[in-house]
Amino acid sequence: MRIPPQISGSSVVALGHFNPLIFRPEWLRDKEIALGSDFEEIKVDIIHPEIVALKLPWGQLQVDRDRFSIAAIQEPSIRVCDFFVKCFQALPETPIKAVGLNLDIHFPVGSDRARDHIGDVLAPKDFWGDFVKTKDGEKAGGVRSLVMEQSIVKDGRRARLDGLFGWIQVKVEPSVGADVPHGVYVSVNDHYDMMSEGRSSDGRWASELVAKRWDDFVKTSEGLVDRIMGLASGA
Amino acid sequence: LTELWGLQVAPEQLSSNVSSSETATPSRSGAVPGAGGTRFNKDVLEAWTRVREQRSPIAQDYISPSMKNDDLKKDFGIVHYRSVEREFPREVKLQEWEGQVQEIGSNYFSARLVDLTAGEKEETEEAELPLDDLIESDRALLVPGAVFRWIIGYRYMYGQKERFTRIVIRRLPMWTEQEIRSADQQADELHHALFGDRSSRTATLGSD
Repeated sequence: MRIPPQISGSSVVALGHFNPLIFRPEWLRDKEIALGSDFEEIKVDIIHPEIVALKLPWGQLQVDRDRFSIAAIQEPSIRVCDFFVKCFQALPETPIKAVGLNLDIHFPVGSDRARDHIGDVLAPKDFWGDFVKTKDGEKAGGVRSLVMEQSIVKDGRRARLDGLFGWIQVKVEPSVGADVPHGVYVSVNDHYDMMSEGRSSDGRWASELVAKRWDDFVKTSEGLVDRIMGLASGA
Repeated sequence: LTELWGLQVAPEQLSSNVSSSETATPSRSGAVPGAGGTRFNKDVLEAWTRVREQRSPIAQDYISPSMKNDDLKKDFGIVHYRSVEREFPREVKLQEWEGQVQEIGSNYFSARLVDLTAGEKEETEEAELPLDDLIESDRALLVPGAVFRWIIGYRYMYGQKERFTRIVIRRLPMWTEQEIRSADQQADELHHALFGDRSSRTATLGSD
């Protein structure tokens, strides 16, 4: 990426039906999902029948009855992929109805002008006229959040261009509260809808999907972020 | 099929706005996934447990007003808050390799490397890396054949900028069914290229 990110994180999120109590540190060790420093440095936030939250040395695991999330905020991001795939190889019968691969990046663009330029290119202000201008012609607001989605309709459902059900969403916002001067926040959500005829898929399919798709997801989403970064230099 | 503002939507979606993805990172522009901490409201969690156990209208009496009706599924009594001090320093990755361990010496180990930053897919480099670059508790994972990621970058910490190197042994998943099928196919293709198809192979063997 042409601008070094100030903050970056990646995650894999699954929706389905989970038993949070399975995801104890000892189970993660026994299944060889968290070994060595990963296991020794686990900090337990909570272990409860409704939710388990663990801090790993490089990220965080949170599982409730409907949602599984493993997030990394330290490179290499491949660790979230390995963690997810191993978990659901060990739990192949788990009902899973959707999986999302996520990349979140905050990067500085050097000036408010460069940041505004990104907003102006992605959402031109001509239509809005006086709504985002003062009487003196000064800027009065701008893009707060923009989501662009790749999807088509297939069999009455949203589908991706690769033919699988789901969508890819790219969200662009000014970075606020994350200590990134003149920052831009970009989030890519690569969502796979795994329902079929009203029935959930399973952990086996989800782990195969994530193992197969992760590298391409990282490459594609970093390319999208890099394209947005390129707008900063055109200010 | 209807097209609205360049976005194709399914008929059933017309009645409501396109919602943001449920599998997206819950963070917004001011947050970082996995950063910060989590507080738990014990009363809400216990009420949740009672609701699940009793599954009766009376259970509504135990839960907080914010949990009732539509909010019930969203409120686990959990508050995610940003840490006062960032737990992870800013890091900039300069280069990343995937490596496979070849030999392990007393101070160094040798490995074959794939330069991921350059977009390579094949092992094109060899290197000797110091064992000291590995976290002590990960030493047991270092065996010939082990796959690891090696990152070089710099980090900002307490106003200082410094180079760092990180070696992470991958906790590799088992082979997926698709990988096994793909390997089988490649083996078949290789066999076919070397010996021809099965029937001609048998004939050749039989003629010897």
